[in-house]
Amino acid sequence: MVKRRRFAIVTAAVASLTLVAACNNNSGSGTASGGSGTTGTAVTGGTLNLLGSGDVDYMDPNISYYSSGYLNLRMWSRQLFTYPAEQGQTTNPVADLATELPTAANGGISADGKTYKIKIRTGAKWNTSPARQVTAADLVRGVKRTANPVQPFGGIPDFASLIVGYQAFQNGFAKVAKTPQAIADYIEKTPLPGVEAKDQTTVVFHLTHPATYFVDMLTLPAFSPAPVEVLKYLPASTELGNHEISDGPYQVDSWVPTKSINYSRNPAWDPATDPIRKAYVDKIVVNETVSQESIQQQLQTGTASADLEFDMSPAPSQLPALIAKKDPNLNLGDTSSSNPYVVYNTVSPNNTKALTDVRVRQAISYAINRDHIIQVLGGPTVNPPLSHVLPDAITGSKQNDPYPYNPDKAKQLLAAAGHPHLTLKLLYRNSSEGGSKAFQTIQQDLAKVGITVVGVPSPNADFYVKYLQVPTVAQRGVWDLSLAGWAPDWYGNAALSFFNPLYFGQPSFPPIGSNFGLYNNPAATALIKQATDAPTTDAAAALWAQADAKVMADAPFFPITSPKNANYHAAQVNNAVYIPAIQNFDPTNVWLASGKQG
Amino acid sequence: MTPLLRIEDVHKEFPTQRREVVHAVDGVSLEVRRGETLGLVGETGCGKSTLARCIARLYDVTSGSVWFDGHDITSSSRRELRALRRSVQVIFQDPYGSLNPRRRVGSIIGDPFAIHGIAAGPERKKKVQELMELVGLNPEHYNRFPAEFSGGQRQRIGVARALALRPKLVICDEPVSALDVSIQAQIINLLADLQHEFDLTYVFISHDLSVVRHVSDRIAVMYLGKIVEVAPTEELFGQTRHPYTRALLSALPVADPDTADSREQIILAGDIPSAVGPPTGCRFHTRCPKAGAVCGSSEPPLEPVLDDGPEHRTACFFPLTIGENLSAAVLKAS
Amino acid sequence: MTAIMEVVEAPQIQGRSPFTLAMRRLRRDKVAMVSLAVIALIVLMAVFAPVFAHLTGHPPNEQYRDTGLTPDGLPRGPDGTFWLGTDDLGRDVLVRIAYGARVSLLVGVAATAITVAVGIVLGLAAGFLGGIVDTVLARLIDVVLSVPFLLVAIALVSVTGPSLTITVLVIGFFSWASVARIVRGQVLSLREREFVEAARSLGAGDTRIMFVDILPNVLAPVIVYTTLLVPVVIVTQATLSFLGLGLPPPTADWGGMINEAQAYYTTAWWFILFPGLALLITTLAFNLFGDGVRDAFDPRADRS
Ligand SMILES: Nc1ncnc2c1ncn2[C@@H]1O[C@H](COP(=O)(O)OP(=O)(O)OP(=O)(O)O)[C@@H](O)[C@H]1O
Ligand code: SF4
Ligand SMILES: [Mg+2]
Repeated sequence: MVKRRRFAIVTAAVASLTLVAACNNNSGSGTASGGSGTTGTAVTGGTLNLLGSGDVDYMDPNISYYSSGYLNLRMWSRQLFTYPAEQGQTTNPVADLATELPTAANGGISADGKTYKIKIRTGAKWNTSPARQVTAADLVRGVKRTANPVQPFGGIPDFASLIVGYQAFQNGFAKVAKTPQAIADYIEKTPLPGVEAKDQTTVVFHLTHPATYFVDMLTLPAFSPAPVEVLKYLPASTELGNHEISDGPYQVDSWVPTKSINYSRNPAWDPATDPIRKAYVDKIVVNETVSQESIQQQLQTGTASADLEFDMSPAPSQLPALIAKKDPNLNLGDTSSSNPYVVYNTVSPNNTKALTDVRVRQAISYAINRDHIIQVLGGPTVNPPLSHVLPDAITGSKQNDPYPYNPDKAKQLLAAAGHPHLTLKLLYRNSSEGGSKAFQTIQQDLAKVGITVVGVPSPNADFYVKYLQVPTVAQRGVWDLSLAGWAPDWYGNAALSFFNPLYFGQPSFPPIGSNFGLYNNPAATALIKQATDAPTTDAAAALWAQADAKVMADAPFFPITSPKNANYHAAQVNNAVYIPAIQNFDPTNVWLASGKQG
Repeated sequence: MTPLLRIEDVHKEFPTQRREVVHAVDGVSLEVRRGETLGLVGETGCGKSTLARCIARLYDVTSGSVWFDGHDITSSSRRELRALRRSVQVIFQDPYGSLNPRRRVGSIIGDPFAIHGIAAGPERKKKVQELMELVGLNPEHYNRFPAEFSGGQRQRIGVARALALRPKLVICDEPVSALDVSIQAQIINLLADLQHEFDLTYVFISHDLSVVRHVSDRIAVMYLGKIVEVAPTEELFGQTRHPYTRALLSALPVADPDTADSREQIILAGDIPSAVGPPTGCRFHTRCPKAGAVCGSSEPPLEPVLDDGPEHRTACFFPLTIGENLSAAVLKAS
Repeated sequence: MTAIMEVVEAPQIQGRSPFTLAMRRLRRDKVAMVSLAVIALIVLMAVFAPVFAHLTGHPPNEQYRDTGLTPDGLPRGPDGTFWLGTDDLGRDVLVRIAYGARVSLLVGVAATAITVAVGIVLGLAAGFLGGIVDTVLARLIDVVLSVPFLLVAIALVSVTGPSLTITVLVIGFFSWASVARIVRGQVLSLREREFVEAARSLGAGDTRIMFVDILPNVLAPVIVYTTLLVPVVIVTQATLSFLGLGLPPPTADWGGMINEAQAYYTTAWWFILFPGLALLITTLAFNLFGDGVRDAFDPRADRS
């Protein structure tokens, strides 16, 4: 399970930490009979089996913040906009519950870019009895639930200051008793000025400033509608999880946390109202108790009871072999993340404050051999290089490699800065294979330019809580370099999701933001502000590119790679389209070859 | 002149697992005079070794007092005792158990020097080898382990160790009873020679009256934690007063065929009573052929009886007269 | 019996200590002697680890991107350059095994030494002094022995962070109790022996009696236990490393290598096989040698 924003563990490493020794044989499977393409005629029916080792974070659309949660929500929860299972289009939002994408031309977006008017499709229904239309009021209720005091949504900082009145609404909510009744009362009686139900199916958003990324942001499941029935339960509770009401093609029949989830068709769902989900299979079953080894083995043997991974990926050590034989069932999908990257502690007092000098940070950036780290992490196929802030698929990403490997340049810069020899402390998670490898490789590279790197190993649990999230720890110089990872909350027009929490000066400092190295350049902050408020997507893209270049020039960090997410599906699975938002193939659009529909 | 050692009303009790109390030594008063050998005899378990350990202050006494060389050492501190250790030494019964099997003989005999910081290195070695010669051991066997010696040789090692510091008082706790009879004489002679040479005072413990008779100037007879009779050796044998002493004597092998007939064979009835709840009155009354009513209720004091002088004291209400036949009493009693 | 000339004129007769006798028995034990030879080889390998680095030209922490790794970052198999292949960072497995032997042996010896020292002192104190000291120590021994060692070790190392010192201390802390228990049991009967009384009557203090008189008598079982403890300690250290709680990288150690290698067992067998073999052979040698020592010190053969 990969956490969306701060990476709990360098992605590749999680999966490899299995102690189970099982016999594994790669040969003799993976014939390209079905393939992952859309060849053949789609067959309806059958049971889709997903195998995993972990559970969803929350069975609650307005609260869930993890990719496995999003994968689960894909079956039974719809948003105004979502990403389609269409090769090449998987990071471009399309209308889901909404009738169309809002534009200035169709009147969906006001002239000042601060008001969004969105219409919900008639006929999109909850599986209540009798089935009931999904309304604008439901959507308002859903947005309000994100601010609940029991388990608030993790991504609130993205929009707290964007949606008019949200901050005040949340502050008031925090004082409410943590009971279903009190929460329901607050939600039903307290207005949230920025989200308004104009009529039964028209919802209007009022924003504090123009935000070209707003439609992208609305793809977050947090902005799902919530029927009034959910107010009977505490947000994110297990009871609620077992009484959720569905507006998607499937409904949750049963959920046994950490064990299994069973879905069946939702009779209230009308395919005519849902252009996104084809819903070929009749049933979906998630088994959450299978080891990584076993999952891979079952998927490769092609048994009818194993179709897709749930929260797991193939072991990194097996990837090269799968890649080498061009296994058609393997997919290396975009993550739009930057992970890992090296953070510089820009306020470190060590080495007579050497790291506060931009030349020293630039020197380190020249001295780290990106290719070398990429190689030990599994090679460029899985870890394509990333040499600036924004990964390729993010709007505003512009190719820029300011620090190509150049140890001589590094030495010159260090000499010029008066620090020919440095001793740097590198904080890393010692139980993370990727972290440990990256540390050792950086240690060797930097030794070549006269920098001694000393490891500061940290237990996983302490890494953020006791080190990176505590600004005074950075100020005291407990670490000089560290390894972190970042994934955006949404895709496509998501540059904000990088810059705002990582490089936006004081407001981005931990623990609220994740600017662990306490980078603070007013010029960069101003550029970010400008890009955030840009009136058009094109203008925003240009400004984000400038901000990217500006931040890179200041060298507060060293990007390494935007890794691919590896997914594997069984041969009988057809039309397996990978969607970055759920870090998996879209289960609502795959079909099972006949004869393999168990 | 003060006696070298004097103990007064010494009691030693041991708690047992079952919260009872063993009265191992139960009110003993004695003195040991300079240069003499005091024999201490009694059946096994009567408290001889315990008394010896009390005298050597290896035990803290439960009550009573111990005087050595005119000083009260009853409650001496550890430091004071260290000095006492140089003057009072013990030779143990078991020549196997009393020597550390994992240490070389040289270092065992050298221990007293090491502990008291008297001699070290080659000097210590020289002294040890002298001691070995003195007790009749081959000094070349300095580096051997105890297991490589015979029982008699081992006891010589024990003697050498005890004499290392030139003590005044040596307590020999059954020094020969573990040895072959042939060897016993050698060790006893060695002890006698050493006594002459170094002016030693001995407390000689044994359950074997013939050995005690051979070495002792005076003899104290012990029964269940108490001294029942004490007298100069020949007097004890000639004018036996206590029925228990007589019983012990009767068990002796006959040395003199002439007296054989006049000697009766007394086999004591019953087991020795437990020291946990010793009999009231005279401790011996449960087995004594002469016991009368008073014997079970009150305790006979240890004092001269009949026409005995102050040197001969007996704890008995009905002491034996010379020539009295104990078996007559047995008949009477039954 | 050997007679040797001393500086002193008299020829000295050397006694045959129980220890000497045990050694003699041990020397006749073929399996034990072969194991000892293997141990000696491993020690040599550890001592001369730099020679391995020199011979191969590969320092233990040097990463060979081009020759030692595939472009996808997979280890390379044994060949003329890397005799036992490379690891996941392109380092020479052979050289790292040699350097790893240093860690294993160092921890094995150091932790065992601490264990034995602490165990002997506390065991002696508990058994000899008795009373409240014994009550407290005996409880402590029970507690330490009932602690799920690995779990606590993991928790502890996660708090303090991994290091050589902490590994040694953690292992030492959790192993002394067995030694203490053995020693205490022996001392309980030894302190009743007459030679202890004899020492006391000579004026020896508790400390001298414990260490001069009693200690030599508990050494045999302790020596036996110690030789069998070394392999346990080595495996424990490797286990901690395997769980990522061993030495911080890039220091080479067998447990750490096996840990790194497990992700590659299908793709790079040499990476897990050779460190695993090194660990197996070492512990096997120590165990067989320990068995020999135990037989040699067998108390049944002791009363000769
Ligand atoms: N440490 C002790 N704890 C408890 N009881 C003891 C202890 N030492 C001796 N006793 C008991 O005290 C009594 C006298 O014992 P002691 O050893 O003094 O007898 P003894 O006359 O020396 O016997 P032996 O001829 O067998 O050496 C016995 O009943 C014995 O069991
Ligand atoms: S006092 Fe009585 S019981 Fe005791 S010995 Fe004399 S006659 Fe026997
Ligand atoms: Mg005795």
